[in-house]
Amino acid sequence: MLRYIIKRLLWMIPVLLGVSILVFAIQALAPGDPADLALGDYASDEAKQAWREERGLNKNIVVQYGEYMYNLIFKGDFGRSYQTGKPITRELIKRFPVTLLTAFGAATIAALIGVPLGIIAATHRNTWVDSASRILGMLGISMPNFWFALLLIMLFALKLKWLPVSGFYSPIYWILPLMAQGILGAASQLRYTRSAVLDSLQQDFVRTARAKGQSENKIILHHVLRNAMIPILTNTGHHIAGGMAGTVVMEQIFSIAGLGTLMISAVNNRDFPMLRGCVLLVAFAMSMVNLLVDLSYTAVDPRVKSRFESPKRKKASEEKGAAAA
Amino acid sequence: MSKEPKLKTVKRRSMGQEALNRLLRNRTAMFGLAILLLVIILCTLAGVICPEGDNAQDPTKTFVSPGAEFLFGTDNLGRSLLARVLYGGRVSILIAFVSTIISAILGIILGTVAAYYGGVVDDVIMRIMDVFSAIPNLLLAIALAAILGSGVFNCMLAVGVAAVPHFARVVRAPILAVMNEQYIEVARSIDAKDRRIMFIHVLPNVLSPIIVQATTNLAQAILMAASLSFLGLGVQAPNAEWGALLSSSRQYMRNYPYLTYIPGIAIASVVLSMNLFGDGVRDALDPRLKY
Repeated sequence: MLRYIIKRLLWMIPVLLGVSILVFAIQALAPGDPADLALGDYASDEAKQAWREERGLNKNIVVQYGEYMYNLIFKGDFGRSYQTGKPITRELIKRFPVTLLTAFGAATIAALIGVPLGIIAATHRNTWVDSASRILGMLGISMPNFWFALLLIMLFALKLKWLPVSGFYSPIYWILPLMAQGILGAASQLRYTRSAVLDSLQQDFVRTARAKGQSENKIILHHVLRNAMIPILTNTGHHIAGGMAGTVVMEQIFSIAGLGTLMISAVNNRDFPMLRGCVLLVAFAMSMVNLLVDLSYTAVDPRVKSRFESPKRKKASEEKGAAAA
Repeated sequence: MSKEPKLKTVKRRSMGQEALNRLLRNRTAMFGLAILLLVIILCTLAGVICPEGDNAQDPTKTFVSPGAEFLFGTDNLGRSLLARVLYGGRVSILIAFVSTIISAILGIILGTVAAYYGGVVDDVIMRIMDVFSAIPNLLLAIALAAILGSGVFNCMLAVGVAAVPHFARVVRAPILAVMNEQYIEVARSIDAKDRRIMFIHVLPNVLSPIIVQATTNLAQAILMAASLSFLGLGVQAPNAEWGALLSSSRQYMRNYPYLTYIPGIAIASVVLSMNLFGDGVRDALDPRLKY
């Protein structure tokens, strides 16, 4: 198991290095001079030159990349923002928890609503319950999340005045953004759960369990659900990872000071070091979420776990099995 | 008095015809296709329905509520929302189709080359795809939009490139399976060129996963393009686009909610129709998965 985790963590290194090259290339490929935007149209050429010199922008791009990665890996330093001149690392540390909270919160809501509905839909296949949840699921995945968020604001904040329109100061402010993202996520979670449960309902072990007179509830809980867990967990992982991208839109709508708003302002102001930092951080977080999802498979499926056992222990357990037989 | 039993002759049909028949019999899919075609026709006829164009302003008629004179009402500059939605639909739907074609072409090329040549080529291509997929699609599109700048074509490109890794994977997996088939070996043994083997023998096998992926991608592409424009990184004012329309409606949400309702309904119904049709196409081409 530990070997597997270490292997996976090592495997993340080339991917993240690739991402860092990609985001570094953005600056090299993007048109326009960041000095123009940072200093304004009326700055003298000398001032711009000095500004570029100060940030090492006159050096070869490969040297720039090397220095950037050196600082990042050995000092945890993402550099300084072109726009504000402040250290990026500090800004990321401040903003990241907000984005993480929205992504995890929304994925939790999606799972709490979507998974039970999906199970009910699958076990009541071809009844009105199933049709209704299928229609809801279809509508949910077809609705743009930003429109849904606007509709929620119009209803709960502007009309009923129950909840604040924007901001992110206390839990009451979290409700609308989390709901907007979570409810739509529930639609996709419902569809996945339904088809995963239907898949596992058709397996032989369900027939066996029914033949021996097992109660239907126990069959669903112990046999069907356990086998349907892997696709459900995978989809939850997608929701958390996708949520980190989805929050970009939510943060913009609800004026939340998270990574998303930081990133959009970085794009608009050609603040490349900031954009780089945001994308790298999200890519890192996404790889970690994927790893956690893969590890959670072992908790629900012993077959997966046996695959990760060290060869020595595997041999021992096989011998034990052979001796017992 | 032996009577020959009459054998019912079964008309032979190709797999494609079978799939098409299944699709035509699927009522929800046909309903989706009908809505989609209706919207496409309406948007194409935008010039006939609203000859004044999407930017004709009338300062005396701002914020007219939907009614007889203006079916969808007017916005803050007195522009007819009906015209903005129809002309905007042209842009949104065009972006969805063109970006899907971009991702399909790039994905097919990369996926086929990777699976066909295998070894180092496969490793290099797929690791690059891994790097691209390590960034969520929308963020990748945002980053690409940062390089390319805003505008309709750049929006197509950003949305299209962001979906390439998915297409490449969908194409690569079935090709890897096909590469061990005997007919590939035979084709090689008679000295067929790589290009011929790829196009004649390999690609027809992956046609159905590509079609399925492309139809489901349409809905994603339209949502992503609308998100980009909503964030101000895609199509920009004064050009009408559904996401951009919603973005500019935010200021007037409190007093003129129809400016928010109508473009949203437009996006949702088109995405819904694409999803319904996409599900039908998937069921028709892959009957095993049908529930």
